[in-house]
Amino acid sequence: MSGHMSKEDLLKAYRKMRQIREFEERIHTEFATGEIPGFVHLYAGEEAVAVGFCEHLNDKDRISSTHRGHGHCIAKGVDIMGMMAEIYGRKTGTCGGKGGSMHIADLDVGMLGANGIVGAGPPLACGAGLASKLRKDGSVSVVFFGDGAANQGTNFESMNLAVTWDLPVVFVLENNGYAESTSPKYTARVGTENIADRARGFGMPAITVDGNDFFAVYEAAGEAIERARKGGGPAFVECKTLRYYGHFEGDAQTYRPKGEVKEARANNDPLKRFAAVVVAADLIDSAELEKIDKEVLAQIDGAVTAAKAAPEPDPESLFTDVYVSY
Amino acid sequence: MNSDLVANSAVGIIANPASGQDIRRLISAASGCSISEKTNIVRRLCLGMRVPGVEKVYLIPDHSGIAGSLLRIRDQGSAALGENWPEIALIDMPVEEKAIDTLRAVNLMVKAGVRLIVVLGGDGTHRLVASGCADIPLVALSTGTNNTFPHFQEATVAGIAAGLVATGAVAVSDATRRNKVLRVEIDERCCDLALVDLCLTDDIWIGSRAVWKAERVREIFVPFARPDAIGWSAVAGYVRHISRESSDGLHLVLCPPGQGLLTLCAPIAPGLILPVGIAEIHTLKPLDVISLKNLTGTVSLDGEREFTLRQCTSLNIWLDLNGPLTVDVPHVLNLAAERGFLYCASTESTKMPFER
Amino acid sequence: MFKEAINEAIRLEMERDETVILMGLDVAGSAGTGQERDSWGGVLGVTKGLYHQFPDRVFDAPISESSYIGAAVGASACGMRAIGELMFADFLGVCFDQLYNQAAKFRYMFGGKAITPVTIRTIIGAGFCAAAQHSQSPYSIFTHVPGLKCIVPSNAYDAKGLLTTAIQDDDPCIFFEHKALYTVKMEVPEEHYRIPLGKANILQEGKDATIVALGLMVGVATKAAKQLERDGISCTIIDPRTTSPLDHDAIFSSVKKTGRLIVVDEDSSRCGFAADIIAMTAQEVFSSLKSAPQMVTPPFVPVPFAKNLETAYIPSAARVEAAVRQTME
Repeated sequence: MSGHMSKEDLLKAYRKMRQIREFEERIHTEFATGEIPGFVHLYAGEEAVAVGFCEHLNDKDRISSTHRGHGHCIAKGVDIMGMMAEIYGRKTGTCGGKGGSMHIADLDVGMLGANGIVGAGPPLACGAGLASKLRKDGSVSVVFFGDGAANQGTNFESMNLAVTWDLPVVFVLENNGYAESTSPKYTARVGTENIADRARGFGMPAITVDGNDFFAVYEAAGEAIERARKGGGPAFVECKTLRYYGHFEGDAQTYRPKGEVKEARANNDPLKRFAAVVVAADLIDSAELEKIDKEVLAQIDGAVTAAKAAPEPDPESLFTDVYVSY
Repeated sequence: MNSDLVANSAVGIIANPASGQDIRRLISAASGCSISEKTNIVRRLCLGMRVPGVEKVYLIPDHSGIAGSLLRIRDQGSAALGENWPEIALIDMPVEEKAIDTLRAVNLMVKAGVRLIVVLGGDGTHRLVASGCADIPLVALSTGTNNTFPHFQEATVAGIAAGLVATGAVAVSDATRRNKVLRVEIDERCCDLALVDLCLTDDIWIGSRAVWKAERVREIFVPFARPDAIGWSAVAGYVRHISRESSDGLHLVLCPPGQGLLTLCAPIAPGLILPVGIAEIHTLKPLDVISLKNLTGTVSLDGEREFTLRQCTSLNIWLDLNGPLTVDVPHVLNLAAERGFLYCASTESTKMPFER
Repeated sequence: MFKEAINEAIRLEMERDETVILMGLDVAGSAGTGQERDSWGGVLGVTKGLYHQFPDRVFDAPISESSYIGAAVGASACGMRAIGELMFADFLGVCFDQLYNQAAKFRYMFGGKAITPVTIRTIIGAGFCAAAQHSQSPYSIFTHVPGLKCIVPSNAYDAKGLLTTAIQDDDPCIFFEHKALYTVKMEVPEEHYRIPLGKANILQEGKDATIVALGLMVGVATKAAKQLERDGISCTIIDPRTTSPLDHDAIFSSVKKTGRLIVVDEDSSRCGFAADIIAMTAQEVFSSLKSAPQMVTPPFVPVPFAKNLETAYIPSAARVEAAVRQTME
């Protein structure tokens, strides 16, 4: 909890955020060369949300994610080499090259999958929460979804289900201000941007936090997750944040105000803000953070090199793993 | 009523979209005040203000839908219902969804010459407004979490009272009272104030701002102390009742429950009642400066962590009797009723007073 | 009875395996209202008594198919074996994504690292004047999706054995129960037994024609075959039991012997089960065919309400008989 994060924890959280940032920045660059197939949706700018939550979770806890899932995967502990190879469509990818960017999953570390369907995560997380509740092992599930998915019936139904069945599920709304290109203010009239207002209507506590402030997210996440672990039921945390890139790579983003991202990168960047707090509080010196930056850079570099060199999936794998048995 | 006064009777409204949304809904049983409800409150205020004749309202812009919904309601639903609205002007300023929005809006309202500012928020929002409103009176309405400074008051009625003061029907000197504040200076700069409480805590970051872990609060300063308050102010109120009108404040040094002078069970947040140990009790006298050094942790103002302290930081805290003016809504309405200001023009007329 | 056989299969699996859970509308029924704890047991009483025996594992769901069927899928990906009951198969439209895009694709998309042993039970079939939104038999839509298994039992014995297998199966299964079969009586062993998925039941063997039929249509086909028998036309009747996986071999080898194929199907005629069987047969054993295969399906219209229209809609023994005769011409 607040004030009780060890230096080791702080460094670990920073490393995760840096890994996400570097991973996404590098994919942005590499995508432009045309070597990465398909669609990718980048998480850069929203790092504090995924890491602020996942730092409270263990491998038994589960998360469900979105099409913008790389950050959640890294935060939850999915192997970065495997993720990069997956995004390149390689045999060595997390899913053997059969899922791609929008379907990276690793159930062993509790990552129930990025998801290509907006609003698919909440019901799945309710199921995971139900499994936790039945196993009585104190595990929880966390569902990340966006302001676009906040308008999906699946989300409303799942909030109601989680309250009705008293499930250990934490709903995390990543409100980045754009449902693809459309601002929430044009798609709803109740709880237009403070979508937490809606969640309260279902009878669960709901709060709004600054999603670019790691410490605000971390505290809120800790309380919500702890509450669910103890059997206190679901909670809802709206994190107001911003994505640095388009809805997908290649999006011209004509719908965004000029300078929005530049301004955010300069004054509201989650990594910079994290560094400012820990350095000002004399907890960590900036040389230690720079060392992590260099290590992460090398790690991502290695992941890209390995992914490019990795073989394509075996042609026979087209036919495998449709069923366990058929 | 003097028509010149009516013409210059602009009122500012600060509605903080973030009030009543913070982490205290998770760690306690605090209520939330939704954007829809805040919009509705502003609408009722506007309709109330129109009764004594307020013609123009300056409203803080926001990205959460208060201003947007309000204008939509005015332009679509209300027109059909025949509601009588003042002119609504949105303050022209960028919206950052941070405290700076409130500060900026208050400064621009002051420049625009508003007669009065109505504030919707909790203690935290009122603190921000108080730091920039100088002697412009405030109507303090509660939509936040720990509400010791503002009051729960029906907005229609508060709007009528605000209008009576803004139009000059009831004089500011009759309508308002002066509030005490705590001033704080860090490293001899960065002046800020607290309306309700100032706490020194052991937290190492601002994070989610609210202060709810009793074991982390080391000292509490309050300009007034009422046992019927909620929040850290209540702790002081249990120790000694200090009215809003008196010229004293209180300074408490806390300790673990069961140690020190006494242990209290205090409502730290709605539904959250915790034991708090009191080690020392000191009276604060106006302008007696308490200087503190070699502290780490944070300074919270009116329930929200605001500053982090480093070893080298020096901190000065003092009680100032010259805080913001607030409108006493029941008193204003009593005066207006006694003076017949709220009667229609004649017994045959159903025209509102401002239509005279 | 058919519905008791289903109840028994669920009960035995819940006794045997504590990860088996059941959720759906009214599956407990009245629980929590202060009335008798499991007074209803589903809209047709199929799950009666299960809540009483397994109060921690039987969940009444809100009428939110997307979320509770999605939760059944999610729980199954997290170590449970969830049985989701969907009152009528017509409502599959409400939770289509959870089956079509989620359950069906997890294993493939995740590179073989996931199993999703969920079973969805749902009611199909016309014949009760329940009209267009409570009478369909949409198993073809789900058969179309790689990753799903579809089971359409035609009798109580098969229902119990197939449902047992489906619950134990590690892939997502959709179990289609014809409402007209629920009260059909049949001797069913009390003990636990399995019937493999993808293994057809050959009800009778004949030399002149092969009739493939599913669910309630098996009885219709049998009735037609009896009538034809009197005229010296002997038919093989094959009940595939499951549309996915499908026992192609049973069909192909029979057609090789008889040279004639008739498929009786209560689902819609276009891009459906009957069309699929005929297309496969034409592709694989064309040279064995002595005449054009025949589909006996409802007309390409929604299920009507009025009794006479609905009767005309449902494939009848007379139509099957006529279709067989046509292949003989």
